Amino acid sequence: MSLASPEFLAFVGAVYAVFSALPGRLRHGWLLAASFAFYGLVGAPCLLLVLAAGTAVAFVGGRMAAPERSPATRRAAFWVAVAFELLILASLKYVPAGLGRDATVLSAVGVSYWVLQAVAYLSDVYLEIAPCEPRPTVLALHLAFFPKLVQGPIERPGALLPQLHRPFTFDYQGTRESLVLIGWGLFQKLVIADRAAPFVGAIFDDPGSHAGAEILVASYAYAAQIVFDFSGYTDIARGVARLFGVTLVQNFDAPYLATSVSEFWRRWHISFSRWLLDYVFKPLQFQLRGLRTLGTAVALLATFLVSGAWHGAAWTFVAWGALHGTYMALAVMLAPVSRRAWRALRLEGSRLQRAFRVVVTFHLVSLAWVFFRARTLSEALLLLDRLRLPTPGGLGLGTLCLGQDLSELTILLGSVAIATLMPRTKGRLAILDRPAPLRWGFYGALVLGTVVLRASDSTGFLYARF
Amino acid sequence: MTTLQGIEAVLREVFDDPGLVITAETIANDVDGWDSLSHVNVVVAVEAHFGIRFTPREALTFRNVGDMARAVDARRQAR
Repeated sequence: MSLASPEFLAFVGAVYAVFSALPGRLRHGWLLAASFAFYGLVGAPCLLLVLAAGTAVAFVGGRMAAPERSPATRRAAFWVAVAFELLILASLKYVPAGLGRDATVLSAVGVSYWVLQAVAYLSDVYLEIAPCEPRPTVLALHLAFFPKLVQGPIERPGALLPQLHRPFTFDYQGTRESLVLIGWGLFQKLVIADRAAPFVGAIFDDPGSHAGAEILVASYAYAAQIVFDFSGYTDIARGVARLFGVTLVQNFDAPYLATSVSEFWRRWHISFSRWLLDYVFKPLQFQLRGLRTLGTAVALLATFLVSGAWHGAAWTFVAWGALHGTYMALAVMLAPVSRRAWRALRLEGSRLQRAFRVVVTFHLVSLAWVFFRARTLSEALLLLDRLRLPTPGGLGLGTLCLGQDLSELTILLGSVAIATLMPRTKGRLAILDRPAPLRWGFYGALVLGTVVLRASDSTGFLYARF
Repeated sequence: MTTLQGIEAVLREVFDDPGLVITAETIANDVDGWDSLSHVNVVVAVEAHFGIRFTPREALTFRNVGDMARAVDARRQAR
């Protein structure tokens, strides 16, 4: 059941109707039951047992790692519980791949996300950043809350748990915001991401038959597909959560406007980047602090290799992570040289510098996406090799269309332009403060545009497989 | 010189900003250039200035400069 499907919207409607009718003390229990039911519907039912086991270990581990216990007990409980959670992830994600089986079939939907949240909870309790959660059902809902269960955002205990303790009160403004977020999410997924998919597939699924600008256009199309797919999902998830009085963290902030790869990671999949920063990069960087800048570069490279491996047991993801790690490590090492060069050119802080850096960052990220999307490492390298060859059909509209109708390209470019004009959450929600005719015109255009312009084939969300 | 003044002197040097003024409530976002990548330089410079070594837990849980100053004082008293 995809979040962009009518079935999911019907499920949300049913859950919300019962949620609203129930007395306050039963609401969170109902949300927990609905979240487990949702997990049973989207994944294999046996995963419910895994989720229950992971939750139980997080709860008991958190109690044992709480400040009132002895230091030795806390340390042992923390490491045992974290090892158990990571073992769940490894056995469902990497063992099947190691045995030569299709990890995307056998691996558990959502496990990558709730396991990271369980590790964050245990770490924050152990480090005394967040208090130990006294109610197992609240911790279970924190991990399993259905809008974010399959694909994040990856929530922190300090941000989500307090919200789950607050009694729900109906919030008219919040409900309006949630509906606009869901509408925008559906538009991004159904109109843009799903429309970009055939442009991407035409080249990436047949790399030996294409060359030159065709590959460049397909890589741009993939850059659009993945951002609107994931950002669309996140907006739907945040919108649905808002209906139940829960504000999930923002996961995207116009990532392709970043002026450096490090800034890109502060704007792309923000909840995952912060998780990596706090639980992998910082501890590693601290251990290597004697090496100063070199230690930071090594910690960056290692962190991005972990990031690549988290996406899947494939060399393409390792290469993608290694590329990002290398970008970041080089940026740290070369920062003083780069600063001196811009100063010497008298362009430091100029618009030209900013534009140049945005374009370069976008192309560095797009280059890494080639490895992320390609079916194998050798196909990624083949695509990059064939990039330098002449374009078979020349540089015309035919090349831009990549075998699709011109109307499809026109709608794709137009919808990307519309979505880019309002790239940030505040911009999207500003419509709620406009006069009624404008507001209702926008609602109508959004619904009608999504229904009429949605791509003929809809695929599942890309990040659900991770 | 108080611990806070000592940290201020370190931050001025690390971020090449002689006019930098901090309080116990100052956070990394308040200081130009203090981000997750440069944070380790601050930690190393503060350790060198006061002749101490932070534990990983201390270094990972500083919420503001005041937390850092308290950790410095605790380390110095423990010597």
